[in-house]
Amino acid sequence: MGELNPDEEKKILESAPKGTMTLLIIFGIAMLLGWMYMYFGMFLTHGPVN
Amino acid sequence: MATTTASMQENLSSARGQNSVNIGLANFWVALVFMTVAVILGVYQVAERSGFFPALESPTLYFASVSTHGVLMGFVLTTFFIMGFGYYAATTSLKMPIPGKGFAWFGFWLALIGTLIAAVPLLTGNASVLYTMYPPLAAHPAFYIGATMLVVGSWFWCIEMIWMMAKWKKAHPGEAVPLVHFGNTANAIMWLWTTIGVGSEALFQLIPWSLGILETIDVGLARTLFSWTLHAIVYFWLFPAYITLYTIMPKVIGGKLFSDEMGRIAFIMLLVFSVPIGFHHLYMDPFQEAGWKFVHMFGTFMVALPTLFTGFTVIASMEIAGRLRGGKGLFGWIGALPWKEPVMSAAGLSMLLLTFGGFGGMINASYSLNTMVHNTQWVTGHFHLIFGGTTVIMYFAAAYHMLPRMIGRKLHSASMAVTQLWLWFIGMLVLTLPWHAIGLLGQPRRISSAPYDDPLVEQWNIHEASMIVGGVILFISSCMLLWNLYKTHSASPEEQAMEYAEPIHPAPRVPHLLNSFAFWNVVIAIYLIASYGYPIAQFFLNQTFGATTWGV
Repeated sequence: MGELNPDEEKKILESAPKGTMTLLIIFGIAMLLGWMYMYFGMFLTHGPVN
Repeated sequence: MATTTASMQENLSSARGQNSVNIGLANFWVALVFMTVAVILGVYQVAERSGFFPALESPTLYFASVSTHGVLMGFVLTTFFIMGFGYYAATTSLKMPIPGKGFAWFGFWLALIGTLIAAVPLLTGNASVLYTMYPPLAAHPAFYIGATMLVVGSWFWCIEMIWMMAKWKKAHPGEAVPLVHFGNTANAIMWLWTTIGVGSEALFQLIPWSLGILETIDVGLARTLFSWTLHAIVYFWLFPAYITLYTIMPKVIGGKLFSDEMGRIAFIMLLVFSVPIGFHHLYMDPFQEAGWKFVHMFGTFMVALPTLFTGFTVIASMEIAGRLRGGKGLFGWIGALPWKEPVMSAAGLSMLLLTFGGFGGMINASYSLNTMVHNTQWVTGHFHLIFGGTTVIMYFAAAYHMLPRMIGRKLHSASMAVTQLWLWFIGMLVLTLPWHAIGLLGQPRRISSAPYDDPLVEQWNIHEASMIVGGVILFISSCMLLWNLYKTHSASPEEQAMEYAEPIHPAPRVPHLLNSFAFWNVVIAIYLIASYGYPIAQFFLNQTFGATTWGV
């Protein structure tokens, strides 16, 4: 952190958090797939209670 | 001149939070000691229900233990921790003393005495109502009276938070209230709204009923009133965790908060959306129509938004810090973060647990999918991940950060703290992931034993064994926490100021709606009337099956 000059620091502070957005998209897709698996794979295929 | 010097000294003292040290410490230690008792009971419970230790089997003892564990974790640890956190954060962020300190101490003692009164029937098996307020399960009146005193004691804290915000705003006209106190005040206001439901149930139904003043009780009305409180209480617990993530974590890791305004919006959304959504706890109840349940389901999904905002802002703040520390590439900043800092480790682990727990929450909230997991061990797994995982791990982080600053000492061992946090994370996953699986295999929640010779039940054995391991890991972790904090009291002196994260773009002034709660209280009132008005009124309007108001 100490090695950064003010311009570099400013550039980092003002840059878009691309890593965060990518992570959230990955988690979002995983959540959606997980929900679909639970609904279509487990709930709808469960059948009547015996 | 003398007045100015005295005023400056008072401000300096407030910056260190000295005015709130005693009440902060008292609240923290009450919370932590009761939490340890609850963890010990938790280990007993997983061992008892596993069926592997016949000598331990006792439904009476089990349900007394479950009830005590739930009350200590869900009501006592949380309430006292939140009060201690709030007082210390308020004095150090606003740089002003607690007004009416005797008032604050009265609230503390009322809550503590209430807890001790409730503990007597809990420990003697006279309040084995599974830490809920769901009649026809009936507890000894002392349980309801003690629990009510605990809640009323917490209202003193709520009033203090609102009082401090009003006083600060008067002294700083037009300025933005520091985010940390804005969050604490949002939580205090939300808690006041939240406890109207359970407070009405206790005051007008449960206490008179348990004392024999009322002969019968309207179960549907009681469950509806409890649902008013039941989900928002989770956000009451979560607020300090989110506040720590927004205002302490970015500072500790050498970065800045990505957006102060985003934090304010998230806190306001939590405040507005968390109370009028409680019917997702009543999806299977016949007392309410499906249409009302759908309205509450919609609100339940809306409350995911502030969590999404929080996830984005907190992770973006981590990314900034990681890049400032030399991290490159799309994910290189993750490795550059100071993972040996307890607050950083806790934040990362907490966010991961929130992801797992949040997924389970989506399933619970989905009206149809809920039928698959309703009243199964899945639900227990879900709320342990959100509360015992996401929330409590951030309480640990806040305690590791605040307690040394309160007493002017160095944390006994940062490495032990990080190990403890990882153990808690691992223990919580080992405990709760099998609960999700076993719930899908059909194990009901709230059972003390099962017929283990049944072929269906045989499938549960591996999961039962796993949860014992998880419980023991959590017990070891909580002992490490207590030891570390206890030893900190005799560690080497070190004066550290309590500082909060600066946003990338500091905003000395923010829009009025992001700096005040007056308008949002009106919105909550309208939303509550819309979502709970008729569902409650119907019990008075439709006297079905001869039932009369309040069960009289």
